[in-house]
Amino acid sequence: MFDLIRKIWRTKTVTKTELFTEAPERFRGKPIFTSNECTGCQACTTSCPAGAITLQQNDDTITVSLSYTTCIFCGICAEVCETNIIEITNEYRLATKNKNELTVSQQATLAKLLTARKEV
Amino acid sequence: MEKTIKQWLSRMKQQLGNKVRSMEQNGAQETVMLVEKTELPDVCYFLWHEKKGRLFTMVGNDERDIHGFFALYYVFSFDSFRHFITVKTLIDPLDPTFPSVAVQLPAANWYEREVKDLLGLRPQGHPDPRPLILHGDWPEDLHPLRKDFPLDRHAPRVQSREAFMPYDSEDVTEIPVGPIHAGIIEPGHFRFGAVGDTILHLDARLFFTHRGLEKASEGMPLAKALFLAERVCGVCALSHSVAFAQAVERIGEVTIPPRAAYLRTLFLELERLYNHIGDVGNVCAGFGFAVGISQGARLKEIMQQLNEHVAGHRYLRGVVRLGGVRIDITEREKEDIVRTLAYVKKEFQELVDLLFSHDIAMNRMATTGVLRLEHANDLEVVGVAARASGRSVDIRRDQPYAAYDQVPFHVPVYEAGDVLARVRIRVDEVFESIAMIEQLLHSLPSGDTFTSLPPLPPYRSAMGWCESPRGETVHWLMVGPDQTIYRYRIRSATYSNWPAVPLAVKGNIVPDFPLINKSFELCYACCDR
Repeated sequence: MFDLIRKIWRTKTVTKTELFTEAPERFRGKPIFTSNECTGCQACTTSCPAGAITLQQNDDTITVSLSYTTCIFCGICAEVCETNIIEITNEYRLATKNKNELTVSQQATLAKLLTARKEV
Repeated sequence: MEKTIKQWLSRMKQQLGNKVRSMEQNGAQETVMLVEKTELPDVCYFLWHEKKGRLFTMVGNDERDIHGFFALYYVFSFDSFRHFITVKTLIDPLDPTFPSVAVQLPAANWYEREVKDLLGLRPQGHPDPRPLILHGDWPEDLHPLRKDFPLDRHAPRVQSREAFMPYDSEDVTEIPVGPIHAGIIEPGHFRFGAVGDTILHLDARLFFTHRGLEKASEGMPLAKALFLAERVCGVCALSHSVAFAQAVERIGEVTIPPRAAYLRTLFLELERLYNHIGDVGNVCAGFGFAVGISQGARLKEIMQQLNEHVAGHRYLRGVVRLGGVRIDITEREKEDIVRTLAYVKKEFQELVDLLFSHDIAMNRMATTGVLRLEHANDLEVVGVAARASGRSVDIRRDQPYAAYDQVPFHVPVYEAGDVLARVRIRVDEVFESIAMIEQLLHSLPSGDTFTSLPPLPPYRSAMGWCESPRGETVHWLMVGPDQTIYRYRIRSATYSNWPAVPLAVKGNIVPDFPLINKSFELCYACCDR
């Protein structure tokens, strides 16, 4: 009995008010656009398991759209992209009052494919 | 060893005589015997009873597109030879029946009922004709795993054919529980037949979370199916993805780099740790031991935060890639793991000391929910439940994968088969896992973390297996054309262990059921798929 009380006393309260601190560095959170170059190679759209990314090509610009509602935050798109247009951050706060804000898009200029397509 | 396996196989061929039509190798570790369906029960019983093979998994496959027949595969594992024998039989679509093996080999019970539900192949003479995967309100002539069943087809609901054990006596009280429970747990319907407080019989109706994952995976590219494998179950996510990746790698005849193998082993042990620590805490909820529950939950949280810190995901998703791993660890993370584990080890030891010195807790756990060794053997129980009943099976030791043949470890086995034995196994395995992780970190080789896969030949099959925290998980995979899945059969540890739960609760009192259930800690999602 005393063992129990001693254990409780020593552990104290662990669920004290949780501060909204940053997630660990490696945590796969919100993907964001970090460049405006795209080769139009479709590597991200074909490898996305949830189909959250769409590409729309007009002449020399490409619109890359990404939906946070379908994204599963696996980070494959960032791994396969050659121009690093998409990058994974550790941001986890995605809540919004407006559903439209959960789809983001980026205008990108057409860049040349540098190497053969990376392995998925 | 190579020679003895050959001798052993040729001797087996002699003993079976003309019952075996042909025998061929499928990869280094598997031999496929083709038999007539009429010989199926004899051959399977011979392998199980005479040769002491374990029924590893059983797969039904609609291969009408390939050669016009359905196929059944009964896979037996021979741990002492590190070899598998698959008994394959072809079934004519015009006569979709086969003699039931389950009559002599109780472990085949669920597999054959599943084949009947999903493929419409009827096991003749099967002792239990009730539907299993598809519930009674699903039309009897619709079989979703047949290739001509479209993925988007909506099945009409019919008058339910569900049946439970009827009781004649008025002294037996029927207590229905679930499928919706008081608590955040998965759905399962339990119907107790109780005399007073004592359970006479339990009908467990599962498969409420059958999502048709195997059907959904058909035609899926392999790289995407890995995500599906990862999401079969929440708490064994990594085990499932490793098993799937191994099946793919075995078809492609690829050996993953040593560093990748070590990292897989490391993460698999981290998965076992957070599960076992959480489970020991959860068992305490079975008898209201609040200190144990909170301490278990606290330590599990620390482990999950470590997972998130090291792998980027609390449940270790996204660790595996086909041909290796996606996540590498640095010196800093090595230190973090060592530091966290040292703290968790000390704290967990204190929790265990508290639990095992508490008279009421010990009284509730000891001699409760005994699973007898004969039952465990007959039903091919695996994992913690098996080892607690004196059945020494651990696929990490018996058929090593990843880097399990590189690190020495001890497999704890207890004889009692009660709740206490299952808790003791988990406790022992926690310390064993911590010791293993220390060894792995110490001897982690350098080098690549993945290798690329060659194009896979179509219609080849292979298995991948993994000792998940609940027991061995087997993924049987056949690839189709263009690197897609043709047939994917997931046999999780819980699928093997669920049939044993009703046997373990018999004769116990109804209030002990939650405790017994928690001590098995079976998950529904990967059983139901």
